[in-house]
Amino acid sequence: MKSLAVTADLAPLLNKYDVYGPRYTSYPTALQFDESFTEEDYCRHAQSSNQLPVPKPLSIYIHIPFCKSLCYYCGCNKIITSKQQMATNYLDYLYQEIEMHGKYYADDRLLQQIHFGGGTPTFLKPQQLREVMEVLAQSFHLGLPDSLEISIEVDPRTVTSDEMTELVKMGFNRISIGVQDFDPDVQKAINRVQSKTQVEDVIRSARDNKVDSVSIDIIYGLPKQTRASFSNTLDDIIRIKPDRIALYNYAHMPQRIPAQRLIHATDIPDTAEKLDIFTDSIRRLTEAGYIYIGMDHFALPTDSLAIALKTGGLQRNFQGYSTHAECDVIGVGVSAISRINDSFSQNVTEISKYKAAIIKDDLPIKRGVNLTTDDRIRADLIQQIMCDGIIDYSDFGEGHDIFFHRYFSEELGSLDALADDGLVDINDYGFKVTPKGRIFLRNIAMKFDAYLTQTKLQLNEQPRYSKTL
Amino acid sequence: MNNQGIVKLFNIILKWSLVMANQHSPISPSFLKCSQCSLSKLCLPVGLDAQDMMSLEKIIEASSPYKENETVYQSEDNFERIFAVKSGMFKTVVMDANGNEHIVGFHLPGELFGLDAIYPQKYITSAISLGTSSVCGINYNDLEGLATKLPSLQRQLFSLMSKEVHTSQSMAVEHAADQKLAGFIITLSARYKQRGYSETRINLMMPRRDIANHLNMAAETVSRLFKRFQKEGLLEIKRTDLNIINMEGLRVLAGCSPSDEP
Repeated sequence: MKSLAVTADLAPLLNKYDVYGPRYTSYPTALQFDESFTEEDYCRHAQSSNQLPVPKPLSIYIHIPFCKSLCYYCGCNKIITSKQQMATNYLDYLYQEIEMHGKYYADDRLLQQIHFGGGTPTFLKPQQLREVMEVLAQSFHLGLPDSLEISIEVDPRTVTSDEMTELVKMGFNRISIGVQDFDPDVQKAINRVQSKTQVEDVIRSARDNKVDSVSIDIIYGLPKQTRASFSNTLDDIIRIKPDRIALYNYAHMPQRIPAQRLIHATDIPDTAEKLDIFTDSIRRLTEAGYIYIGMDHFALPTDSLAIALKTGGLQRNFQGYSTHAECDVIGVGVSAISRINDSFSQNVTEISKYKAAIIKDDLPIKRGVNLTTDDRIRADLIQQIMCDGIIDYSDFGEGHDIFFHRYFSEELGSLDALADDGLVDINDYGFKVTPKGRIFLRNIAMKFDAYLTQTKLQLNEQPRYSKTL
Repeated sequence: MNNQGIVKLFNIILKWSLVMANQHSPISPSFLKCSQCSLSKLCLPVGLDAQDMMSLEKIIEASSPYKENETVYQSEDNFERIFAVKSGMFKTVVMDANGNEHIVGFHLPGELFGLDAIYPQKYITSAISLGTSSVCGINYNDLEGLATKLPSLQRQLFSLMSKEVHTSQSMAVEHAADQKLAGFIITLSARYKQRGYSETRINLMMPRRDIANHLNMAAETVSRLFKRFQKEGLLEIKRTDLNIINMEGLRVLAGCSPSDEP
């Protein structure tokens, strides 16, 4: 990939394309999930998925909703508590849910990916995480150790070096560390105070024990952040040199996310400053040798994500980008999302409802969606835009039994405007996302979102989605 | 309206509601014209002139579509009609003495099933739809009568029956699992090709457990072999989409000589 030239002409584009839009970790997006979707639907999709000529491998997402303290920016499903007992009790139900799912899948469907997210997965003690792994091993057939990806989101404030060592020895081979920002003022403003030493100690012990990959999450647009302060944070990140960096955009939506009301709107950098921070970050990270993968993700050229971008093996899932062959994803725990066969489904978000369902031996499904043929075609196209960024009309059409030009005639028409801005290159045979266009992947994908064109949500009306940049 | 009129109207409504409720009641023959069917060159009408074709059309009943997993007839049902697949796919299943089901065959558009019931006068197999599919039903007595008058119809009927016998004989030979699966794929490919579909891109709409059952192997073996064939560059598979890359390689594996027509 050509190096990303961050020039002055980027600023007007960033302004122009800074609209509300989905992140496309799923298509259709969660807004299209419906409460008429039941366990019966899930079961039917699980059975169909078992009956493909070559069933997909399995991936499991485990949601641990507990946090010891509230980070003001966070919009995740979480419960603030210091009571360990709550987690112990939650796990009893979680294990039953895992067992229920396990019964649905054929024996030769190996579990290839295990991901712990939150909340704060490291709210659990290593001993508890070990127990979860044991329950998984009883309910599913695990893939071979060299192909099994076990990842966890780590809050450095909740793990000691010794505990990190234990986790890696237990088999966790990918860790992602929530840093957000190293600046003390910013940390205070978001109520997440953690020292550089804490972060570096955790990473050192993971690396000493030969963890496969270290990823760091940082956020731009946080309160008290300035171009200068974030530049210092970037210095530290580049020095630590994680394999991957996720640079998220802080979306201030206090009307939807109550915790964000604790952030003073006046502390938030204005749009111009925020875009400067974003362009600075892209420039600094690419200069430091990172490859821009797309959306919020950067990776070292040696990392599997960067290699997959080059060779065309990139995938997108609920956690962002991934290199794994497409899996059916089972989501367990409150609010977790599953993607099985041609369906998405999401669990209830309240712990009380979650437990009530499990007690009745029901899967705690709240809502979901059965994909139509059109959904499937668009989901594949959006995935291809977000990942390889190259669409060949005849290849894609043949693979989906459509005439691309006819099927997407309106959408292709609307793509011309993006081509004029240099985000895509279009010719008679297909189109390609330009290096500059990778910053605007969501905007390109939105052109092919049938639900957006139906409801015209992309007009800056209601912020049901976060901003695209 | 007098009482009689109301009763009459009621009966008409009742009759219609019954017709609507019965999913697979025959549709009037005017819906169905062999002369307009793209499968007529493979199905019964082979070699019939326009006049004869019309006589055949008179004894054919098309049914409304079957959804996935619906039964056309069950084994032990009295034999009345044979069936020609119009769209989609059907499987025919027998049950052995231990109650185990065995899938005898998959039937593609233009192929007949129910022929094995002619001798015992009741269906030996059960016929079940795979995905949304439709059939034409042909009353066998009527067909027999018509065949005595139309030599080309008789010839085609014998020819289709002979093909059935041939298929079941070749199924009876025991082969290694990979040979069986390769043979299954190239046979399907040839049958689709005959029907004017792509011979290299096949939609495997049957569940893997059905392929496994038909070929007498474990479902896991089917998937393991498909993965091996993929690795060997013989084919590619995405969801239910099978793309044959190396037809010759598959034929060699299946043990066909290059000139063999499956």
